[in-house]
Amino acid sequence: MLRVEVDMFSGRPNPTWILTDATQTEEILGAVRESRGALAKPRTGFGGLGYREVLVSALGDDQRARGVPREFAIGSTAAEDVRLSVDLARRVIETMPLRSDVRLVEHATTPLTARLRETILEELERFLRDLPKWWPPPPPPPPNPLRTTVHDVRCENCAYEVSQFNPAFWNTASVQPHNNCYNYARNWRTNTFAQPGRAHGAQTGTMSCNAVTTAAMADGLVKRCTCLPDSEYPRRLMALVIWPNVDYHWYREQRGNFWGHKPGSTAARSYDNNGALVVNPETAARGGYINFCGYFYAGRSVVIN
Amino acid sequence: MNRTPLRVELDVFSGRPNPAWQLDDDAAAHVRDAIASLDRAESDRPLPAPGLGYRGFRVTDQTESSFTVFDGVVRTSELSLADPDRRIERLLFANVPPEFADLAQSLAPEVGPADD
Repeated sequence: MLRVEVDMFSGRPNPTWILTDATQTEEILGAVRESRGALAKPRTGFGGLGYREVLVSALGDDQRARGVPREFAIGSTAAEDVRLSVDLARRVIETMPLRSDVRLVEHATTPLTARLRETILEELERFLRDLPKWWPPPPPPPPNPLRTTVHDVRCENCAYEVSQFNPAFWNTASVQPHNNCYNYARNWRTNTFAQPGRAHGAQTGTMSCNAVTTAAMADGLVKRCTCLPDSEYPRRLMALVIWPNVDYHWYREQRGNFWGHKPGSTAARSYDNNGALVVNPETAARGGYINFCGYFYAGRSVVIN
Repeated sequence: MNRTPLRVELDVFSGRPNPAWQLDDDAAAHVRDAIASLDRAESDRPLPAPGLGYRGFRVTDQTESSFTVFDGVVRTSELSLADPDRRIERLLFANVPPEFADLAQSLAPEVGPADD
């Protein structure tokens, strides 16, 4: 007996059945033996929305057909011969019973019907016609000794990256005068004295929390606790403050539980107007920048200018 | 008397570009004269780096050489001059163009009242 699961749904349980017919099982296993290029390791192919692969597995730990892995995927982009793999998957899907001898929990929500079988076969053909090209996913970023991923203590499940404080990068004659607090907090040296929203035609002349927040969000910043995916690595935690009707200022959290900032064209630093380490931008000495607006994440797709 | 113009930048903003303007020839001459009357500061040690808010003026001439004026010290790349009464800062505040007048007015107390 074999367990067959068509991995294609996101919300509902996947169509799943047990192949109980001994003749059918032997036929499938025979085809598998002759089509080794059609097999793939489970969950190594396309992993996006829609049809992904057909998973076939043995039901018992003592069940082993000669020359066949105990668990494998077919109809998978990870197979050496994808077309052959899809052909084999089609054959297995056609074994889907419309009245299963073995009732599975999944059948309550995803009953095995002729319509479902038709849908699966249609999806399989669509998959073959237009094979997903973006899989496997990009490899994880190489470890960076200057960066650490931390979980946000204020938000469930959100993570971001904190960097080693590195003012020497900013405090040189060719960099310091041309990069401001927004450059520093986003950690992107544009040499243009970057302005929130300018890269996206959304710059503001109104110095208020709302206006500067809107402009910065046009650049791609999101409010804290709007979790950014790993694909946005490295993700910064930034804080915005306002000198009402005059100017704005940004901070960036650094590794080590403190914040860095760069007032205008002056040197990047980690201390406030009282010379104290900035451990909390909400309570740091900030001169006229009396309004604390909030925290934001800036992922890699945030473009500033 | 050197009557060439000077570019003045009020160093105050963090995010936005600082306000900057050109001093006309007469005002520039006044600033130069006032600086020429200053004595060398007792110490050339740098002032503590100012943070958010008013950080003085940066003044540049046509040859791109510049000096800063802050907290009673006029500093060039070579030397520091003492201006204990902060006359130069007051002079520069007095010549702020109208579009920055409100800002200048809110910052002027930073240099304190004149001693006359």
